[in-house]
Amino acid sequence: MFTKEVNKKTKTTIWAGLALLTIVGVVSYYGFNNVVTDVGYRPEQPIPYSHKLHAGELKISCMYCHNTVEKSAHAAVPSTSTCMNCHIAVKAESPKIAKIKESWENNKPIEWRRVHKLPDYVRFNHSRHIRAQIDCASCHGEVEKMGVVTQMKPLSMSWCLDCHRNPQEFVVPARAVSGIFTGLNSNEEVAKLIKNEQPSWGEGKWKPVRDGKTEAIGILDHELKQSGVPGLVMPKKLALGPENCSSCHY
Amino acid sequence: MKGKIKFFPTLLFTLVVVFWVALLSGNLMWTSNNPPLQIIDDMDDQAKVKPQVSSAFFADGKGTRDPLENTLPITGHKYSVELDDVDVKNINNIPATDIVLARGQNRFNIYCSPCHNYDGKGNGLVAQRGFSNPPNLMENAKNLSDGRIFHIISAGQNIMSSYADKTSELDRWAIVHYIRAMQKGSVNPQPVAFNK
Repeated sequence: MFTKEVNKKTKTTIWAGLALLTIVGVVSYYGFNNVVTDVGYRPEQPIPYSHKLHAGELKISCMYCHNTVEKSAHAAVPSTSTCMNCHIAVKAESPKIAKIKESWENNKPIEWRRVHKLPDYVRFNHSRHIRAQIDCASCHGEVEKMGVVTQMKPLSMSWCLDCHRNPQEFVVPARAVSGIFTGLNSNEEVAKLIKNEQPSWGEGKWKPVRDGKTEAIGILDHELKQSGVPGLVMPKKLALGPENCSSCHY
Repeated sequence: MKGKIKFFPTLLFTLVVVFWVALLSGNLMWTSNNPPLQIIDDMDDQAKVKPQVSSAFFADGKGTRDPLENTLPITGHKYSVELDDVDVKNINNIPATDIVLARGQNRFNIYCSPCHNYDGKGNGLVAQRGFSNPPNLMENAKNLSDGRIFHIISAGQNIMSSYADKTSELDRWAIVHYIRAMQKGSVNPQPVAFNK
């Protein structure tokens, strides 16, 4: 690689410099990457609540407790009274329930630790995504299989944009466990639509093309006309996510 | 670079390569109890009150404030109907169209099925775990008026607590429609899709 005129000291310096550059490059690129820094965050909660038991085995929908997701930007952690809906009778004497009872009797909230957090300059709206029939697992992983909730996705901006640009590749369509309202369509039909396959009624394939005014699938229109009930929460059309900065940073 | 390949440096090199490839391809994840390290905090945590956090500004420490006395939420009114007035005050104004029934099924499956089961006959999965004896909606609720069922969902009854905080008024009427449709046998109760 080197000619004979190059002495040993120079060689060593060059090799050492290259090695240092590589290390600095790898560490600064991947060391700051959310895949490395954020994925795997698994805080210990004040009460050892298991999603695996409640959502997985007992098949309680995500929306039973996180009931604000459909209407508000924030997915609320349930109040203690939500726990007490069942635990007033189920396992009421268990020592693990004692803390919940204490919180309920003293009117003092349980301080759950937050797992998924976006930076404060990002506005993420849960309701918009839930009503577009995007399953919780798209961003949170399969929580119903987790004993302790762990952050599974990087939640970085490039990760958001990947999905906004190619939703049919990344979106997990609404599943029964989440409780997302899919209108008159079954979950399987919505899954077909999101994955851009022909639905059973055979008219609705959508074109994920960004052409100024994205043509969303028209299949939900016939349902919207049927509703005739102002104020009833309806699923929204599937479309590409917005790409302009001010959609999320405002 | 003459001479034979040394064993330990080669092993070390292989291990390092395997480690980085596994890590960067996402097949290696370690979990941590500590929040993600913020080396450069670009206004990630701003000094503002966010939903469901405490605030030292208020004496009771609640960041989310309770509504003032004698005020109503913009989305509806607080449910305060007495049991005697249920048929007079709880009037079902929404039609039982397919989409309303589908909505009713969706809400029923989320909030009612844990105890009452998907078919409304009681013996849901939570009931099996020790919640005492939920009534069979297909039998017991047949003779109740719509307003009375709406009242039970809104205010609770016996051991069942109020679901007014989790379901909107429209959703509660949709659930009433769905229970009626199940009693008549005009819908096919199931966990996933609406099926007439």
